[in-house]
Amino acid sequence: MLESNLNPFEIIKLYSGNTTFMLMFALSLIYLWVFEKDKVKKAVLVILSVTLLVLFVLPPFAYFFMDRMDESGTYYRFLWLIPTTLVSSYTVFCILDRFKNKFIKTGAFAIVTVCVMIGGVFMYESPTFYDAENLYEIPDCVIDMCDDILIYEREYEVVFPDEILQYPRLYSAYIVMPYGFEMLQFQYGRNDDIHEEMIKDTLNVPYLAALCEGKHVHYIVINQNKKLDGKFEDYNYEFVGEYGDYRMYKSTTMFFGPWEEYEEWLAAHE
Amino acid sequence: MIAISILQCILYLFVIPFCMGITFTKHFDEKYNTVGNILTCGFLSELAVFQVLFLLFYKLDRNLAELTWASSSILFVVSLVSIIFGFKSIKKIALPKFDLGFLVFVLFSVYLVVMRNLQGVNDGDDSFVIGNALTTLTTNYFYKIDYYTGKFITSTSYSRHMIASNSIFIAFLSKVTFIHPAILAHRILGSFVLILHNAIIYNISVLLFDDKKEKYRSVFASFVSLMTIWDFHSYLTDSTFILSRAWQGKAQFVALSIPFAIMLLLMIGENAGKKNIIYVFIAVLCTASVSMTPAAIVLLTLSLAVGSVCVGIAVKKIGVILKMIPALSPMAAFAVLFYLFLK
Repeated sequence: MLESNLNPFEIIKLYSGNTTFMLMFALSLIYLWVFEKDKVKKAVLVILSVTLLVLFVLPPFAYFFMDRMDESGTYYRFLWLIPTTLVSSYTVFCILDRFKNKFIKTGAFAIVTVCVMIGGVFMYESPTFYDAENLYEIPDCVIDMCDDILIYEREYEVVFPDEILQYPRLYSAYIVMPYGFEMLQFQYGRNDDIHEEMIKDTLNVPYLAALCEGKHVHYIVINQNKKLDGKFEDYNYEFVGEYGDYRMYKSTTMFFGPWEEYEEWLAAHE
Repeated sequence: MIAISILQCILYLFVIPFCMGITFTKHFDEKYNTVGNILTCGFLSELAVFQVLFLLFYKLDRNLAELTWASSSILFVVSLVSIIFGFKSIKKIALPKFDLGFLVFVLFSVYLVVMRNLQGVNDGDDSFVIGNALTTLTTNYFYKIDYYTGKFITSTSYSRHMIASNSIFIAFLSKVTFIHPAILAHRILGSFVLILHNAIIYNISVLLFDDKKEKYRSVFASFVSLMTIWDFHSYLTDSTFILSRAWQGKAQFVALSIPFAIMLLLMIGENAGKKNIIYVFIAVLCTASVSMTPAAIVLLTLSLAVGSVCVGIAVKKIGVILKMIPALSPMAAFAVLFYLFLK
């Protein structure tokens, strides 16, 4: 999602990045506008692209989408409709076709390819990607935690730090959380008291443990980089183990068995 | 169990799409009756059928198990009927020219699939897409449990997602293939969508370069792949979505629906709007696109409407524009539904 106060030109600027491909696309549009003889290709690749671009920046249109339809954060998706890569690539081959000499044609193609690789940004170097650790493409430490949590096929309430908040429920729907990824995605629910405590640099352990116990949290996962103001072991949570950068604590007072044994457990503890 | 999972994947991602796709492609010009077009048309048809059934079952308050049975039965019947009536056209499937250029293009496609499987993606939207698929699969009910937390849903902020069945389709596939939704989406569906995307690009190259310029087709398709791989100018570009999260609805919309719409517009222009089957398929494409993302209601409608006007003027046929109106009618129905769901 983008900031909601951006105007269409700012969105295009953000979308274009270092502008190499956008410049290539703009030049391609001009070339095809002038030289493309096939009316259908011109209509679909050029006229359609230009019309959509004009609509994108047209104030009433942009206002309608961004304000009336409340799509300001995702208005950039409109730019997906413009076939930038297809238009640029097609133009490259139209130009290459003008060269009669095979060697010149091959050389020109090699130069264009190198230009694309230098001017472009390699996708797999983006920070979005990381080496997949397993088939699920979920961090190993989260899978190990979940495997240790899910003793029986039933729900367990767990508190996770923000860095790995999105992963546990991709692995098992039996992991239940007092707050989930919506806390980061939509910025609402910021008043969750456990989350407010979890994001502090120094955790107030007595307070956090009390909050978690009050909400029947079976497990608490803490980032090892956080400073702890106290010991969980003194507040009804025991240390389970270390999982990468995280430490997991388990309640010593709650029921962990299968639900059919709950009555028995309750009777024994009353 | 693994063998059954593989067979089920082949059935639901290759056999059924192939059988369903041939219904449409047998009416296309012979050179467009390609395996890539058949599979893409078929997969989009599968999504469209599932989308209609999901909305029906959701409104009737039914569950995933019932939807799975109904969808599977209907998909089987439709596939069977399609293949019976389209069997003869299998012989007429156009094959690409297997030259060095095509080999390079295949290598690009393999590279994309390999990278998809080697690299994980740190993307929060999965907590909805895969989280909801897993929650639905585990609980058997649609949108009763908050996929972010596992608690009962009390807010209406989720309503806008409901009209798109993408995550429920992953749950459905997961149920019939016995594969965990995270593995299914990240590994199988992601790779499958990338292959289909490249198939569409190749078929666009067939439209852009006539038989005299046939030698450019494979090189063009490879060049498009190259540009896609080097198109990480920002995290907003279509290429970023295609390569990083192909299993998610909006990425499928970018990878499949938009290029396919471009392809259909080129085909309409080429035959001056005479082939009515393309308009029928546009209605299917619209339904399939809404199953990917609700944004398709506006985006695809706009693209096809403007595109049909451009093509109509280019070929000087008002019929091109007029025929597009009923073809886009599913979008009007979905717009009303979207409004009602939000209410």
